[in-house]
Amino acid sequence: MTPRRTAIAAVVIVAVLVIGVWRSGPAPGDPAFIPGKQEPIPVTELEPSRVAEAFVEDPRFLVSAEEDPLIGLVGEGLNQIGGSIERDLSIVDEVLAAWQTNFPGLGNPVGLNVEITAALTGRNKLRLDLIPADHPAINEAGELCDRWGTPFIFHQISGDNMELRSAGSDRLPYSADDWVFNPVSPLEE
Amino acid sequence: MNTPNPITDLGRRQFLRSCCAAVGSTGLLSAMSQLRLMGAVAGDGAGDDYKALVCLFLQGGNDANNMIVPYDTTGYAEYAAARTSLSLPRDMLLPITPLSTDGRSYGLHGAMAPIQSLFASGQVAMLANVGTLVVPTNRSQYEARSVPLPPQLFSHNNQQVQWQSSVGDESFTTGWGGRLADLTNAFNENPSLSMSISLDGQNSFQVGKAVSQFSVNRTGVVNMSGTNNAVGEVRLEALKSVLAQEDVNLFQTAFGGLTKDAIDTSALLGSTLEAATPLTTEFPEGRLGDQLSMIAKLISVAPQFGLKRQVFFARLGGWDMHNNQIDAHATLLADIANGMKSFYDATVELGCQNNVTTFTASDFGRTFNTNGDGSDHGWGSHHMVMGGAVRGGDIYGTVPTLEINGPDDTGRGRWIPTTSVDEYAATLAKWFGVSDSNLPIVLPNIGRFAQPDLGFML
Repeated sequence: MTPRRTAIAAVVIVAVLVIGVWRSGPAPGDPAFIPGKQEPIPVTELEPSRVAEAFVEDPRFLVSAEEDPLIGLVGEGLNQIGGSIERDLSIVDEVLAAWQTNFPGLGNPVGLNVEITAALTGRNKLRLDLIPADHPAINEAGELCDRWGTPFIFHQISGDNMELRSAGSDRLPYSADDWVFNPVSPLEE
Repeated sequence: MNTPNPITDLGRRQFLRSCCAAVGSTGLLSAMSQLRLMGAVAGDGAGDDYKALVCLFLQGGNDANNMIVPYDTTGYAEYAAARTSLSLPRDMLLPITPLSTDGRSYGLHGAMAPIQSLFASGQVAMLANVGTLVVPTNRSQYEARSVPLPPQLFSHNNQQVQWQSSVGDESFTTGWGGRLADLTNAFNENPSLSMSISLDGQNSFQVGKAVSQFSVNRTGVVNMSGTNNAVGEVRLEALKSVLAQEDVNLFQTAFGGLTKDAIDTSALLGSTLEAATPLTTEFPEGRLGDQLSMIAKLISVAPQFGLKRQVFFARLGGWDMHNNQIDAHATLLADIANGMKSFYDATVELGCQNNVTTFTASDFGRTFNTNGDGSDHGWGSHHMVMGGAVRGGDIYGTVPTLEINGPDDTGRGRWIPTTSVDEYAATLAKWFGVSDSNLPIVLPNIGRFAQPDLGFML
């Protein structure tokens, strides 16, 4: 191998590693991820009505890597088969970051899940769809859902700080198995 | 031949001199303008007596849907059907009898017995469905986005700031409490303490241009750490000596002066509070009780500081109840009700109950329907005003139609406010001594709304 080819190969390897690390998002141990609540409630202390069995991922809301409508877009990988909820949450956060880039100074889209999803799927001044309206993660009501089919919870802390929550495999929001992604910090009170 | 252009050919030094002159002129004009406004307020002749305004901020968004609840059989049934797991048992509600009626009857949350009695005796009024608005807005306008809406509706920080600034459609510069203080500071006679005091740290509400907010702890003045012994006192005097030094940098000199003033004011206030006659009124233990107790003490020493107008800020967090709402909300409402009752009793003890008005504010209301175990961010919300100068015993404004997808709903029971923060604040500002002509200085957008005086103050 010539020195020129060696150098090119080295650059390609470094680029692949950098992209790989960059795209993998925060790891589960990352401070941005808070499994469950801030102070998890032991399941045994929950009311019986709030203790639910764990469901398997709902295939209606999943997408294969080959058919991912977000391929090449910032949201690529959302609810992919074989993916993880941690990765899904960081992807939604990346989509919101892309929104802020395209609408500087306006802050995140606000409101209910259905309103935020509408904004992210093209109901905005630029008619920009950061997520295709027919993405499998969007349910019939127009809400963006996690891989178990429960709508994500968008907690609007400030204009540019959105806490994201998945109800987890038990599909009960604010229960012990929730997954919370907080890009900045919890609500200060 | 080129003719010199006085603008483009400006020399660097000449440019800087011009800029400095311009900045100086602007400052002078600003100061003159401020003095003129203060003079105008003093000319209103309403400053002979003492008045204090106490903002009680419920941080996180209070679910007032469970603070004032439909009590008539039909109204309660609709409420219970819509709120499901968040609905309160009817027999736990505390019925109230407002002076005016909208055809419906209402009850208060069962944890609010002290407020029920104050409402009945006329010291508490309820304000229905107040919220941030840029202009009056109805549902069709909201859905079509045909009128400007408050930016970042449903976001905690943004709505807190907009409630406290009452200028939602512009970047934050000052709070309406700060503007009120700037305007009415003329009522104070050579005050040696800021009329604007926060019991819970810095806040947007009290940010003004002329009057700085002064922070006091729940238990007293904020002392510098390490100064409470003999060595510390020597250290403190040395620090004050350093701060008093003039510096070639004007900002450093000003900073040093302000810091030294704050230290001196804290010391004076601390010794004054220690010497003050203790109040016999007992306050509930806890964050809110401590804050309100300290406000009562500060009011008791106001004459010693030449203060005839004071604006206070107290804050209680924990209202963002997305889950476990029923029990937690009852606890906080009991804190508020007991704290407010004690505070009113303290003003009676001080003989100034007609001169002190307390009002609540919060980020937003909450969704009428539940998310399972709590509620989510809403918009319009009910509030309370308390004091001897309040036309109490009534509900002011319009209670919304409590119907999901009804005429006042933007989805899930997020009510479009029927009274703006501007109108709420303007009514309080007028009582505080601001004339109609000066109201736009405190509430710049008040001209957009129908009622600059909602009538709840005597």
